Amino acid sequence: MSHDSLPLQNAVNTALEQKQPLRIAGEGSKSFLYTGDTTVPLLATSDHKGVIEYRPEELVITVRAGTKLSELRGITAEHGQMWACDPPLFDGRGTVGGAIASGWCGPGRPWYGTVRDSLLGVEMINGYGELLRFGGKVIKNVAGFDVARLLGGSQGTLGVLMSASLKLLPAPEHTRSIATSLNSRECTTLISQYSKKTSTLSGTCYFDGKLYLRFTGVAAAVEKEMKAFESNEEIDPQFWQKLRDHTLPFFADDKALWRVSLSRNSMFHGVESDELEEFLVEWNGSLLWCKSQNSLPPTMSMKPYAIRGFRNVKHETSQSSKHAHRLKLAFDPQKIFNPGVVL
Amino acid sequence: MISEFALTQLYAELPEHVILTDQYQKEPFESDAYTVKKELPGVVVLAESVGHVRSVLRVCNECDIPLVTRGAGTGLSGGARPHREGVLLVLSKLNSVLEVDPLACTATVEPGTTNLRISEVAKEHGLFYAPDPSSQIACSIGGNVAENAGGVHCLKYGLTLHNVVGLTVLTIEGDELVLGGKTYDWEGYDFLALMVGSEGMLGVVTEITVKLLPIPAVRHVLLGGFDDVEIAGNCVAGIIAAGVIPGGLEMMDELAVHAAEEFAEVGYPKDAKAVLLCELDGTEEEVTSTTDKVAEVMKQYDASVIELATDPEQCERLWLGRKVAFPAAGRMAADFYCMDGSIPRYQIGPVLKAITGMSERYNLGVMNVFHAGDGNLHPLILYDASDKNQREGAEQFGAEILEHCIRVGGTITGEHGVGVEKIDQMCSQFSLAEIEQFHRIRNVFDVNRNMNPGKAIPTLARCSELGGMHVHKGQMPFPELSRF
Ligand SMILES: Cc1cc2nc3c(=O)[nH]c(=O)nc-3n(C[C@H](O)[C@H](O)[C@H](O)COP(=O)(O)OP(=O)(O)OC[C@H]3O[C@@H](n4cnc5c(N)ncnc54)[C@H](O)[C@@H]3O)c2cc1C
Repeated sequence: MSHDSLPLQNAVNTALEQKQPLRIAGEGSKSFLYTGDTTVPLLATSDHKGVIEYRPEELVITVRAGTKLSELRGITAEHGQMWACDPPLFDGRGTVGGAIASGWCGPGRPWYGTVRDSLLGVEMINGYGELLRFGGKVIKNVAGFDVARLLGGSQGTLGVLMSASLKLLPAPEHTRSIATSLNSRECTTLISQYSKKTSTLSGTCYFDGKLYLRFTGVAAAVEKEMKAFESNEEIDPQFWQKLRDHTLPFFADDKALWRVSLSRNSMFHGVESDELEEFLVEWNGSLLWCKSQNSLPPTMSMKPYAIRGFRNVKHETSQSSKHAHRLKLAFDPQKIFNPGVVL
Repeated sequence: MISEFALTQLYAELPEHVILTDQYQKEPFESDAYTVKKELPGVVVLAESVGHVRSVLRVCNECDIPLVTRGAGTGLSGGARPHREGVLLVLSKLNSVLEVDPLACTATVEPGTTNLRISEVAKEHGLFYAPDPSSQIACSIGGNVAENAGGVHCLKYGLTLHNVVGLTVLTIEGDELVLGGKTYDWEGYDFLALMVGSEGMLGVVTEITVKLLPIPAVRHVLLGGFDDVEIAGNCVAGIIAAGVIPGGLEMMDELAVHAAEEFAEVGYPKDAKAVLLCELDGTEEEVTSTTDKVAEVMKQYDASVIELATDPEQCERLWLGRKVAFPAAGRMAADFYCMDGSIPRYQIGPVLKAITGMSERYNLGVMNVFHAGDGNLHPLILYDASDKNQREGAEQFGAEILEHCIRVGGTITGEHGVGVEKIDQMCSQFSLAEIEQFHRIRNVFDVNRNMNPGKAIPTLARCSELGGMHVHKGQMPFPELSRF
């Protein structure tokens, strides 16, 4: 186990000399999402792991990219803290670097923000073989372009992420989760009320005619809100982790799965259309998972594309590919990182 | 001066009344709120439509001349300082609120809309826009995006970055980028994050969609008075460590307290060496619980006075002193120079002590009033600009504070931006390879480098020169530091 950045830097420099493209991966927990060329050699960051600095009183942790998310969770939980964007662990092997590069977050996204929101600084190797640092360990920092946050969701196309400083939050002192039987119209009514008031609501999920709600925060505040749901079924809070990691039975079959990002104002509208076979909605109605052997219903006027068994949905109004292409070259002129992955 | 050719092109594309060429018309625009360095713009265009913006971009690109964008001109780092041979594009008239969507909890506005206006129009829906720079009645949301502006409530609700969900950006090459929007995520690189804080160097922001939040049901303000600045600084770290994220957590030192008292008589403890103002908001139960916790921490750190405000009027009174601190500083000295270093919270106490030491050495007064919860310092150096020695001393004093911030693991600017003011310190904070990477990013959007030239990112030559000076003394700037 090495904690030094030299081995990875050497590997990149060798690849540059030999013009040999590389596929960057942590533990490979999200390899099913990988759209690039899988025949090129692997550059594994999984050995580059461990905590560099953790000051709980600062709510900031600096970790190497290969550190497992499960380990990060354990360490921060010991101090009653959490990485609030809550990225999926999938098969349990997910790393911090992979989470940042994929940019995926958990069921709390509308309340806790996204991966890049909590990214304070990074250390990376670019396609010139240079070790660079951007951002820092402080909460506020506007010196230079925000390269750290640009790396969030960049899928390893701009360089090798070496370490990151993450902003943490105090973990909630109290959590309650319930399920209630509603149709989608009733969901809309209920959830739109919550968006207008101060609340401890921090998770919503709707499928099979049931709305699942999570409330977190100061115990007295959570308990007060729970009074409205006294007659409803209490559920195991593990539900939210299973939702995050796709281990709920809903995700368990082989049917093609689509991920559709909907407007914040959709509020569960229209999800019960006849055209959708099976679906699950989270993020207050803005993230739709649906199964369909065919293409998506035309009412969802978005251009779908498939990632092997898994399918994502791309919006028609996607941004200019000219700038994406130039950005790639600005970091990786020889295109040695993750060939075939195009953002 | 701008070339005849470029001017003719502008007149061909734009109505005459939006083009200002006379000296007296241009003078109000010679600087932003960083008034140390002034410059008369080649020409000013007061855009009245996005079409005007496009025209200006096209002319600047075709004639290969500099373009500086200006919102309200309240910037404190010279970001909107005009260029003598270029166009100053002023967006303050582009100030319509295009949409408030109470279901999505978003507002879509033009860039010249003032920050406060957004909260005003959101209010009827029980919503507000959280980032609240002290300049919020004047500064534009476009300027906030360009600087990633912060404010008192950013501790809990995040900076501009965390509250902007969509942008439309026009590049000087004529491209329109529609970034983000009302969905929570989207495909492609996070150009939105890159645009925020890019100081007008990558494009002109023409439309902004922001996130709105429910107005908190309950607000309390706790005031703590302390006999020692360092202990008050440590108390800030203590509050955060206790697991509380206050709505706002601000600190004022003795001089700031006295200045505020003289200005507004709000009733701050005058014998305190430092005062902390801590706002707690949320549901009633949440606020009750966190207020108790914070008061407990203040006691642990030997607060000599603790005062709790629970009704809106009392809260306003306690905040008033903080709000008048800047104008109050204006009364303490002929001029003041506002710094913006950002440090880890646990360093607040020691750094304030170091600043006191510097103040004695430079023989210049300094007053501290700042976003303590975020570790964002705002030392106000008091001086007299008509005295050359004091002026130079103030600049050196400021530079020393920034270098000190870097040394303790912080950064040269928390929210005001680099602009022209801190461009030399960029060479201390970043390596040449890092600076070069910034330039490559800039080229993605502006190959000819006509957008806001000379700002924010120093040239490599400039850094080599400065680096050379340091090397001459036998050492690199802060070799021991991981610049992280
Ligand atoms: C009394 C006072 C108090 C202040 N308090 C705070 C504070 O609490 N927090 C804080 O963060 N700042 C504060 N500031 C600084 C300033 O108000 C902010 O930086 C603000 O965001 C600047 O907005 P502006 O519209 O005035 O921008 P300007 O000064 O006009 O421009 C600032 C920069 O943004 C660029 N720009 C402006 N509009 C656009 C656009 N549409 N597209 C692209 N680039 C653009 C300009 O080129 C320039 O580089 C304060 C300033 C004053 C004078």
